[in-house]
Amino acid sequence: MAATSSSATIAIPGQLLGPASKFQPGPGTHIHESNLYSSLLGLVHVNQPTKAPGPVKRLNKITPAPPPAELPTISVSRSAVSDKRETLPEVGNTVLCRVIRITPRQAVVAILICGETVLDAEWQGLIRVQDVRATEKDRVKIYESFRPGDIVRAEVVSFLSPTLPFTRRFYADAAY
Amino acid sequence: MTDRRRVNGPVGSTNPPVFEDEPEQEFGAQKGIRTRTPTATRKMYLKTGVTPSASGSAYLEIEASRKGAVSGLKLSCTVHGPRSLPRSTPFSPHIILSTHVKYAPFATKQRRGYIRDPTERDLGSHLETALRGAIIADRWPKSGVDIIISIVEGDHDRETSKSQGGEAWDMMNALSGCITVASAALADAGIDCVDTVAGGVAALVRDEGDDTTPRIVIDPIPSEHEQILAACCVAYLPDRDEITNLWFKGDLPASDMELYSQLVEKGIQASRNSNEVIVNSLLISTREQQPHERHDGTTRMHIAFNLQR
Amino acid sequence: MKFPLGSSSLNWMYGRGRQSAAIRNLETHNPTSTSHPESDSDLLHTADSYSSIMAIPSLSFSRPTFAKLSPHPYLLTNLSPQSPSTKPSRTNGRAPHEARPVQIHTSSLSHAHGSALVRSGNTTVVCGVRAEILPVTNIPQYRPRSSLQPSTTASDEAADRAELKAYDLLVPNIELATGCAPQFLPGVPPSTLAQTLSTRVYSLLHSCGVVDPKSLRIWHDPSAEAKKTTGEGDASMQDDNDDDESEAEPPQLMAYWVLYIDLLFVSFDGNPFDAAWTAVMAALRDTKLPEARWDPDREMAICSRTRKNPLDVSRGGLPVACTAAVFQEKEYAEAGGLAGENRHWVLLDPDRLEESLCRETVTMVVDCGGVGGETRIRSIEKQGGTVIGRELMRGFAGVAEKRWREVRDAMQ
Repeated sequence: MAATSSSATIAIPGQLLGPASKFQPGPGTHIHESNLYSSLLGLVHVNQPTKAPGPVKRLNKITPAPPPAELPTISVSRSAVSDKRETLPEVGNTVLCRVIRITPRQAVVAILICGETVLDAEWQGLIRVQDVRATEKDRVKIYESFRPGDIVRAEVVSFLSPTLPFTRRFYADAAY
Repeated sequence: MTDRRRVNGPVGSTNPPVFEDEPEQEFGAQKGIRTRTPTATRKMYLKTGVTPSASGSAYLEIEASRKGAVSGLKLSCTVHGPRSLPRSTPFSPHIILSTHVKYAPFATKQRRGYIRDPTERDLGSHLETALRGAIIADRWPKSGVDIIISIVEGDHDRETSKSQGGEAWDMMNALSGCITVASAALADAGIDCVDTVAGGVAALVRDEGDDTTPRIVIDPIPSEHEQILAACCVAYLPDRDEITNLWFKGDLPASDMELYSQLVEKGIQASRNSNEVIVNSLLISTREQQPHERHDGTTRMHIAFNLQR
Repeated sequence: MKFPLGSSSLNWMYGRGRQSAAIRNLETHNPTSTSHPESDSDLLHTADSYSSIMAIPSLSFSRPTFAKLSPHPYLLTNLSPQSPSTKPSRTNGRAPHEARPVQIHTSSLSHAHGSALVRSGNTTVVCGVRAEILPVTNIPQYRPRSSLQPSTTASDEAADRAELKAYDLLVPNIELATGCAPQFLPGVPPSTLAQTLSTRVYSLLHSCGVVDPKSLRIWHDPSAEAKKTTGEGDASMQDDNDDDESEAEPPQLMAYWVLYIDLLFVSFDGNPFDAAWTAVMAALRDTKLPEARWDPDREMAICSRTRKNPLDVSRGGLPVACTAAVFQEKEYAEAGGLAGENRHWVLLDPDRLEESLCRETVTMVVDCGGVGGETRIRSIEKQGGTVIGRELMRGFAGVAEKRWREVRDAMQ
């Protein structure tokens, strides 16, 4: 497990965090002219890669040109300073959603919770009939699986396709 | 046609009160002369998180220059989102900004209506340009964000009767404030930005008495000067050293390019001052929230930053 | 009643401080299971066959997750704690009859004649009163008033009120579409809620007789004008002069002040009416109208820059609105069911979450500042539901009295 050394440094958008040759960009950062900058207001975290040499003076311990995988990841997170944070559902995320309406081909759901984050805005998702379960896919009937109002736990399988807004692979149905 | 969804009041038209003319010297004593140095901005109060139900929010107040004569600017900004776009919207690989600036009915000398007028639409589109340059738009595909600013009190001279097109210059100050407050609210909402953008205004003015050389001042108040020849409002990213929006207005000879760049330079200086206020306010609010305490929103302190150095 | 995953795995846990409590009787809140009992077995089959394929992680949720997924049971479990030692409290930590403290700031706007900022928890509203002049020649159906005597009799007072209403001298408007909450975004016509609120404020202003129409009249007094030209100096044109007119020409009513009362919500967290009404009252008490005199030559009212008179709002007393919502144990109970089967809580000063879960609301407007501190009920409005009856209403008057004192203290 990666050792996490976090400092209580507050970063504001546009703040210089370090050169891109010494850090990997994590969430909440961006690269501009081979430097890493913060893009959020939050706390700076530096995640050392496997087996960090020591807690003190971590900047000096980095060898000048290590392979990229060994670079510590620097990230800016809002979780400690704000209880409200929006996250965009990403492929692979586990989400909790409520079924809004069903059609023979798919169930339309509103995503309420993404990972551990309670979402403020409602993102819409689709569970296609072929994604409802892993086996006997051709015998799935949407109306036998879902009813409007159900809370569904699902995994995001696609996000950026313009035609299919979201697709969820159903794997647990908690009929609420 | 009257809007039946509001309480419209009397059928006959009403007039704002007309005041009797005061004796000349009394009025002259009230008329402001700029007491700040040409490179000083007025005091600003900026506070984030004033609207807890929004994703992000901020309140900006610029002090009134003199008691009673000129009102300060009071702006309240809320940011809603990122949220999913409506179903009718076509696919977008990046975040879609929508800005909305509205004066409150009691914000200015004349009562404002509830329907947005062209001035307010103009402010909204300038604001959108200014913010678009600061936001990392492709971090949030298929999303939209609403940025709404209510101008609770406009930067208007209450007493002066001579207009000299003051409305246009007031708009510049309003836009600069809008950019600053929206930038703080965006940071509060956690929307990725390359930098904290801030607004600043500089103007080429001619003062009463001396008709020799016009001078450049930052954060101008129209009523404090005999005449404003030109003004520019910049939205500036200090760490990137980039201007995201430049709005220039006035009457300058085309030959004197030096004057243009000087004016923009001073606008950047004003914007740096505003940026400092944003940074301080964000740092303080973040420190306040750090001990994992939930904010109840009832007891909030005002933080004042003195920029008159 | 069966659950597809078995009730045990549906352990809707949430932490409250150190404690955590499982929700009881989840099936009673299940809307779909009662409406489609026959489809349960199908669903069970689907889920069973699936659960044999993949291990289902236990469903236990954090507090905010629980609140988002099922707000009604979330509020219910807070209000009915497991152990009798803990007092029932709402999700916002308040007791059922506890209102949010009110803060009032006045005179903060310089372009308005009177203004107030009212903050009640996370609900913040700004009110600005702006006066404009309406010459009587602009009133289509103007009937000149003959009597100039101070109105003491009841009929005169009624006439005064009719005057206020007939000429529409009070114009309250509430703007909600300021982004004060996610559901109120601008660029749309006023929502039903905004229209309702404006109308309620409008009718309450008139029914309580808050504003004295006498202070809205602008007179032209030729005799006083004559006195002034002969060097009398200070001439008071606006007041209801009842003794010094016996001259040839009686004073004439030339114009009215029209009060535009605009309210802007900066932040919205439930109970908009109480906050709006408090802001209206505070702003009207803060309003100062410039002294106006009618200039017959220019045919317009001219105002003094320096002399201002406070608006007379003393006659209406200080009505204070007090709103509560009724939360019922069963989310989808039939209307008219027995009260004993369905527990309920009266939640004073509801917030946004509570408002969305309650169907029955009651607003009582009381004024305890009358002679001898007697409480007068100025208005009662009740919408939806059947819980609040005569007894509860009587008890609620006491709650409203307490609220009146809180608001009065905040006003001073």
